[in-house]
This record gives sequence, C-alpha cells and structure tokens, in this order.
Amino acid sequence: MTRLNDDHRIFMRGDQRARGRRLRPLILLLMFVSAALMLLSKLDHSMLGDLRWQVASWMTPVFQTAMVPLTPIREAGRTIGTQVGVQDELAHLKKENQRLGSWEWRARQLEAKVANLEAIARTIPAQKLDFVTSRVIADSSGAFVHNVIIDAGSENKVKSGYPVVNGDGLVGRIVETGPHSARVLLATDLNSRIPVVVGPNAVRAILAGDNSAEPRLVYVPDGAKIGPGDEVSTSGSGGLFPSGLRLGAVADNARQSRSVKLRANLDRLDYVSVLFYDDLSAGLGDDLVNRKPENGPAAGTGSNTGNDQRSGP
Amino acid sequence: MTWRAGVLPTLSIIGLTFAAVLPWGLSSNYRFVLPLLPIVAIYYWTLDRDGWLPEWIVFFAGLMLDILTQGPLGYWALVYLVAYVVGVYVSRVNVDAAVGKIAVLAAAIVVVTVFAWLAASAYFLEFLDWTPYARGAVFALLLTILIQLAFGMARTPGRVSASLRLTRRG
Repeated sequence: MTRLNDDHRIFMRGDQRARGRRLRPLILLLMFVSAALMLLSKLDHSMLGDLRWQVASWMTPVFQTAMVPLTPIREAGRTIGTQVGVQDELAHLKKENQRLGSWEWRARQLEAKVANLEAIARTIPAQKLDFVTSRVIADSSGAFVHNVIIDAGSENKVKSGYPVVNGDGLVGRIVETGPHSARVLLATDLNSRIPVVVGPNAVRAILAGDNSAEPRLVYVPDGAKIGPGDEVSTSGSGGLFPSGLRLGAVADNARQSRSVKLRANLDRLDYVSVLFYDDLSAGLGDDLVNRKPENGPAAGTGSNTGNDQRSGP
Repeated sequence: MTWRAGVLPTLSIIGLTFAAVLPWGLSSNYRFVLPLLPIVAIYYWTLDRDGWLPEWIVFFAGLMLDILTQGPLGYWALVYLVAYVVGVYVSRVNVDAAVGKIAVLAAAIVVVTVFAWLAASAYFLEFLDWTPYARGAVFALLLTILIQLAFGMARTPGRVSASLRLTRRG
C-alpha cells in the first residue's frame, strides 16, 4: 500500500514534489495593496475607519456565539490561576480587610458630615448616572491599539464618549457604536487622554496611554508633589468623564514615578458597565452664543438640554 | 485533492484568525502570540502540497484580523503574505530529520516575527519594544507543535483516500 501510495504520488505530482509551490505574480499585487492600505491607515483616511467599524459590527453575532464555549475555558483558567496563589491571596485579603474595617467607620462619619453640610448649603445633588452592563466579546489589544468590543450598542442607548467602568474603576470610553456592539478605547491605548487629579494635593494632570500596561501622567504642573501610591481619579475637567472615578495609583517604581498602575485589570475584562454620562456643559456654549443682550439676564435659561437633568433639593 | 485538503487550510486559518481576537484573558505582554497562530497554519498548509491555499485567502485572513483588531489596515495582511512566501521557499528545502524541521520552522517564525516588528516600527516611525514580539515568537513555536499535531490528525484520513484514487491521464 505504501509503495502504491508513493508510486501514485510520483506519477501524479512528481514534478511538483521536486519543485514545491510556486509564487505567482498575484502575491506581489496583494503585497502592494497591503502596503497601500497601511499607508492610507497611517494617513487616517476616514472612509477606511467607517468601513472597518461596519464590518466589525457585522461580526458581533459571530463573537457572541464564540463566547459560549470560550466562557467556561476562561473560567477554568481563572480557577486554576486562583488556586495557585490562594494562600497568599487569603493572607493579603485578611490584612486588607482589617485595614478597611477602620476606614469604613471613618467613611461613615465623613458621609454623615458631608450630608449635613450639603443640606445646610443647599447643594444641588450630583447627577444620578444610569448605566448598562455588557459583556466583552472581542479584545484587540496589541502593538497598535488597546481596545475591546462589547455587546451593547446604540439599541441599548450606548453613545460615543460614554465612560466605561468595572468593579475596580474606570476602564475607558466608548469611541464607536453599532446597533448591537460598541468599541471601548481602553485607558492604556496610545490615543487615550483622561483628565485626572492625583494624590491628597489634588494635582491636576492628564493620564496618557502609551500602549503599555501603565499609562503615564503628563502635563503635571511644575513643582507638583506626586509620590508612589498616590490615588489617581478622574477630575471631570472638559466634561468627558464625571469627576471622582478612580483609576489607580502612582506606580511604586521610582524611576517611572509618573506612570500609573491601574486598579482594573484591562487584560481580563469580562463584564463592564457603560455610564450614561452626558456632558452637562455641552449645551452651555450654544446658550451663551445665542443669548441676546436685550433679553436680559434670564435669556436662554429654559432651553438648556443638559441642565434639565439637574433639579434643586 | 480531497475535500479535507480543500477546506481544512481555509477553515483552520479563518478559525485561528477569529480566535486571535477573542478575549482569552491573556496579559497584553503575551497577547502577541495569538495573531502568530494563523501564521503557523499558513506555514503548515504551504508546506503541504496537497492543501489548497491560494494567496488571496491568506491576504483576506490578514485583512480580517486588521479589521477586527482595529489596527492599521493591511498590516497583518502583509505579515501573513510574508509568512506565505517564507513557507513557499521552505517547501523547496528537503529536510527529513525532525530536529531539522523544527530548526527550519523556528527560523521561519523568527523571520516573520522580525518582519512584523520592522513593519510595526516603520508604521510608528520609531523602533518599538521588541520583547513582546520575541516572547510571542517563542510561545508560537511551542504551540506550533500542538497545532501541527492537530492538523496532522485532521489531515490523515484524507491522505489515505487520495492515495487510493485512480485517475486516467491523457
């Protein structure tokens, strides 16, 4: 049988066997097209971006189907990983629990004090944020981009610009939406810029992603005191994110004191929540522009869309 | 050519391309291994002379990965085409020893990975950190053995039936 097999191969494909595959001119054309597409991407051609996102949106059902067998695999991997370090983790959690117990008592005291002060000062209550929780169905983190695709889109009222959080803090923001999916630009992405406050002195800075695991703090004022372990949270500047969303802490590494270790593990995102946060100051500029001097100081107060969400006490 | 030889190359490459964008929970330092897995499949099927693998399928697999990862369009398409060219050249080299085959495979993965790093560096106009690429190449080499075993098992019944087929020529 083996001999028959060999004879057959020699008879039918003997010349091919000696030569192997041949390269056709088509491959040169395809390489040229690939290089041209790369160049167009570098030039950030808008048509390519739209087309790319459209195709990725169509793939959503495929990803959702693929997640069915993948979820137990991920769970199994996580269980194994947890079991490996369970003793260390237990000791760490006990210590942390002890520390947080005293903090809880202190936080309750402060909460009551703040509530009293707000009532005295008639403070307008903060905007209550609605949210939707969604599953991560694709992860595109690599050399070029750090983003994930979630299975909630415009039909779930998700819009571009909405902040995305998980239990550990801010993860990123929505940059593109389809009917059933949306793309989340992670805080580590090269294009991510998040206004933040750092440490007890509330130093304002920008958290800039650089495609590494630890984004950097840039535009830090001269002479600002920032040390390892200082908490980093959103400042709310620019209206892109609500203030007070925690991000992480300044990394311990002294050489890279301006890098931030994020609380959320962006490599292992399962479920994330999209906050329906609209910039309250977005319509303010239009109102100021449209205000006519002869209408007096009350002009434009009834037409603001963003401020309608706020109400007095 | 049997239906296995006709369908398996395309299916395996498309399947591994999809797998490359699924959220496996890998650290970003190790995620680079995932896009290298279709390269292993491309290399394997290029060496298999019975397998039907035209270059345009390789191109579209790369393009699909570019679209799904939201990276620069054409990057993975170009890298996969280079892997195809490397596979074609390697297919002309006669190596029978297992160690020799692994050495050639390792050399091929290194060539493709270095090209991927150079292309990415050229895109950003600066030399990128090469460690994730090196790490990805090492893991891809280890996974290749498993993938090749799986492909071999899927391919075996097809080989027997192909050898028994009688064809009239002329």
